[in-house]
Amino acid sequence: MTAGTPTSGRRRDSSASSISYVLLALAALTVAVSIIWPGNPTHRLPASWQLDLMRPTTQAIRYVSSDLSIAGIEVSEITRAFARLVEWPLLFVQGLLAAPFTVEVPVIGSTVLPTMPWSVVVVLVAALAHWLGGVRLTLLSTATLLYFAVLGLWTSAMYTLSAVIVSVACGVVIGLLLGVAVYRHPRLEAVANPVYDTLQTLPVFSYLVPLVVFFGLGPVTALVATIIYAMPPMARVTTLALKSAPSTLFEFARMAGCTPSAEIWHVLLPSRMRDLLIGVNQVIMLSLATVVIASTIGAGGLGNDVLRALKSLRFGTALEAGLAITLMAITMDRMSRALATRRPDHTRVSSPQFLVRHAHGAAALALGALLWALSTLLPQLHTYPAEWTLSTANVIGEAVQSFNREHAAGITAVRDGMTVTVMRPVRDLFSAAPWLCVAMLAAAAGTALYGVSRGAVILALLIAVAVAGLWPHAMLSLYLVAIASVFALLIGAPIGTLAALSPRLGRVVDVAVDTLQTLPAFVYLVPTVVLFSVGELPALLSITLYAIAPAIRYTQHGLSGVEPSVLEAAAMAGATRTQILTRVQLPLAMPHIVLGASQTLVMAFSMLAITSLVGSRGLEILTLEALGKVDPGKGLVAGLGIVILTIVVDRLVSGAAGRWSWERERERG
Amino acid sequence: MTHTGWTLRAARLAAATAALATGPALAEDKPETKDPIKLAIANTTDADIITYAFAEGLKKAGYAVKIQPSDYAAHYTAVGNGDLDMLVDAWPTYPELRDEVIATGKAEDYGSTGVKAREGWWYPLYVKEKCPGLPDWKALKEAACIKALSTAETAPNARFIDAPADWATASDKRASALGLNVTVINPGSSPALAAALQGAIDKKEPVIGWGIDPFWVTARNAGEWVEFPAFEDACLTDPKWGINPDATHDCGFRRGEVSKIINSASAKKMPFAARILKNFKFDAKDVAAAVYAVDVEGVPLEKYAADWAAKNPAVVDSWLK
Repeated sequence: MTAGTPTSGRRRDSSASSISYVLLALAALTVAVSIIWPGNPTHRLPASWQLDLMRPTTQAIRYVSSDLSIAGIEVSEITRAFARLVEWPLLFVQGLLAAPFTVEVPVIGSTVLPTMPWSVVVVLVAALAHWLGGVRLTLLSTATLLYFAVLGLWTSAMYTLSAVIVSVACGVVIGLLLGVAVYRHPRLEAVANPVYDTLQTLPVFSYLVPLVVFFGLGPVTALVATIIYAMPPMARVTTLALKSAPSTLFEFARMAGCTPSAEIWHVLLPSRMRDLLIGVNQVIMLSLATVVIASTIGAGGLGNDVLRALKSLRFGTALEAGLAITLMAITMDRMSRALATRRPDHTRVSSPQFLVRHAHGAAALALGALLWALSTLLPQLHTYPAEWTLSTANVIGEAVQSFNREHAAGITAVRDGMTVTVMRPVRDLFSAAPWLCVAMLAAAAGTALYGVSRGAVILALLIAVAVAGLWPHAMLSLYLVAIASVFALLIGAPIGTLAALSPRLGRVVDVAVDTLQTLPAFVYLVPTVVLFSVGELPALLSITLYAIAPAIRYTQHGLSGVEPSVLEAAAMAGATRTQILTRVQLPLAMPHIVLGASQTLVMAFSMLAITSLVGSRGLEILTLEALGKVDPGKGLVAGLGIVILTIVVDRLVSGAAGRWSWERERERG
Repeated sequence: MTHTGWTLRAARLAAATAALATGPALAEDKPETKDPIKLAIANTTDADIITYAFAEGLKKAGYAVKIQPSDYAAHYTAVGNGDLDMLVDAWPTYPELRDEVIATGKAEDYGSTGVKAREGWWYPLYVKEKCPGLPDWKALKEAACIKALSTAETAPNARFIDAPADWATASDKRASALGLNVTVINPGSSPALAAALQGAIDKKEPVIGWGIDPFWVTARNAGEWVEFPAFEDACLTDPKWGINPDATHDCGFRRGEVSKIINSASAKKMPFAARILKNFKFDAKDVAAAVYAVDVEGVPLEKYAADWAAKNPAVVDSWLK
């Protein structure tokens, strides 16, 4: 998410600050009026002033999907044709990795594409990992694949892997094209950025129903949903990479006589390969993050295993499949990062023979071919035998249940204590606040940070939320996110500090944070429900757990980023370890920590949609209800409400953070 | 679809063995198409076992079958626009989605599967100690009962753990029409519903929530259904009906049998498969046994269905007549 630059203190015009004071005064006035006259229009917007946007949106989508035709072809026919187009590569990759795939070849007739034996996949992936990142990466990727095999998850994992491969390929291509288009036509940026923000914050639930209407049911629709969610970082990175290319490159390209498109595709993009690969990495991670949600509309694979196990509270099985997703994500993350940071090897390019240059790859392919041939004799090499699989059975599920039985009183005390002392008071405060007061406070802050026009945009967006009748739900969402973010910071910042001070602890924390961010939330959500029942408490806990990652990461990086020479100077001046931490490291790391805080909020918002699955009641529940009633308009309108909240809160917090660290810089001179 | 390859092989084997034993159903009935018949599962064992059993019948008749996971609500849309050919798990409790797709004319109702379904408000037996009037719904009007069922989050109201939102139960409308001081909490998903109920039962915490029969939670724990005024269609549409003259929904829940739907174009394209669908009947007892085996004992559903079909060839053959 990009944050606009706050206007600097010096150039801030005085009219903006006086307008923000007027807004603050008006906000105070609405509070006063609402105390005397509760339920007035500034306190609760009357139903007659609200517009029903949901029904017309639903009708519009229904019309487009079933009746509208362009040039005599129905729109749904066009989208279906597109779905079949995307389905083909998916079936092909699945055929190679997971299940035999029958192709109709014109002359020969139908041919069955053979599936790669598991042993061949292991060898090829290990060779790739070795080429990319040496022994450690080889061990990691082999361990991951063996984990799939030993736990009996091979086929599911290969389905998920095929879906991720195809969605990453599509996401990267679409992202590159969009990114280049925006670079070539900078005016598009004004449209593109809000659209990317929307795609990344719109809960996937809110557009699943329209997707089913347009693309049918099954893996392709899940794929489209994944691409929509995972593509924007690629497009952003592409535009950014092109913009930040050094001017000498342009001059070179001009002199070489490149056409504008050759300049981009043959000179600029290849030179920014490393930046682009960071984008690819993001697409991979986000694709894996949607695996479980995608399985609700037919993606199958590991996500489906997780859901199915949780339906009968087999937590052990769910955790096994969930960890498989985590391992896949971590392995693919490390491999794509290794690719991004790989230095081109200029010393061996001169080797004359192709086979000499690619000895490594050739050897791996030969070994793979050999194993494939052997697998016809030894079926164990082809399909991992079921007798060799292990499972933890339901040990974890029984552990959770017996803990729940034995500590019933304590668990209930914690649940009720949290609810009565923290959650209800904050919820009451957010629900009782007059809507216009909240909107004006936000607008005042926006005006002070960015000037009058952005302040007006914020006010307009929030009024739109109220007019659409979403305000009460929006406040329920906001209150959960607010408490969860505070908790995440209170817990995450100290952990990050400890991790920065002790490198050994740091490595443990790294693994834990990776796991928290890639383990499907559902795996730990449902056990919390056994203990704390459904409702807002498990929702709060899960948002906190997920949003804690940036709080830890940014603190840790900020603190370890402090120059060692500065620390030595402080130590020589006679500062104790505590003094170095509190007087030198923390102040210098503050900008990072503050950035971490705004990232924490964004993460918290992105987790919100999932929490509706365990009983939170804000805007996210509307998107889920829409899914149930096949009411695409309701889902989209409520989803856009979440988008508005996220964007407004993100802009205000990151703007305030930027302003704050800018002013500190100035103080220090 | 996970394990489909394996299932197909196992099923083909089972079908071949069965065919050897009983001979083909009728010589002139052959599959009209090589394309697989598309069915969906909702990842809910009680519904999915019916689909898998039906799939065994289609396979025995020689059809290829493709089963894909789907959201329960989305699969009505899908059978309307032909993404699914048939479905055999149209639950009777809230027929709005089914009626809607049949009203478009793109899908046809093929009658009941014979599986009786019950859903409604359910509680474990120990709740009766706090609410002695149960199962009569009026017991939920007693202050002591409401207090026992309330939690810190819902106080002073009782907590009702509803079905996921996409099941459209209208429990909240029932509570307000009948004047019950109940806060309806929506668990959002069926794993969360099961976890919340079982978690409370393990703690012996007074709890009332959405019950489903057949379902492993209601099968494994002793419990009862709240008895509301009996359901009639008019209750949902006519405010004057029932004890509250100003509100609809002042009654219990619809009971009925799980029914079957076919896409209209598919019905024309493959009349033999359509006839199998029309003949298809299943027993609720088999559903309950399957739910126990799959959800409690952990038997893979596909395997359970294939074994069931192999053990009950006469039942399967009766669909192929």
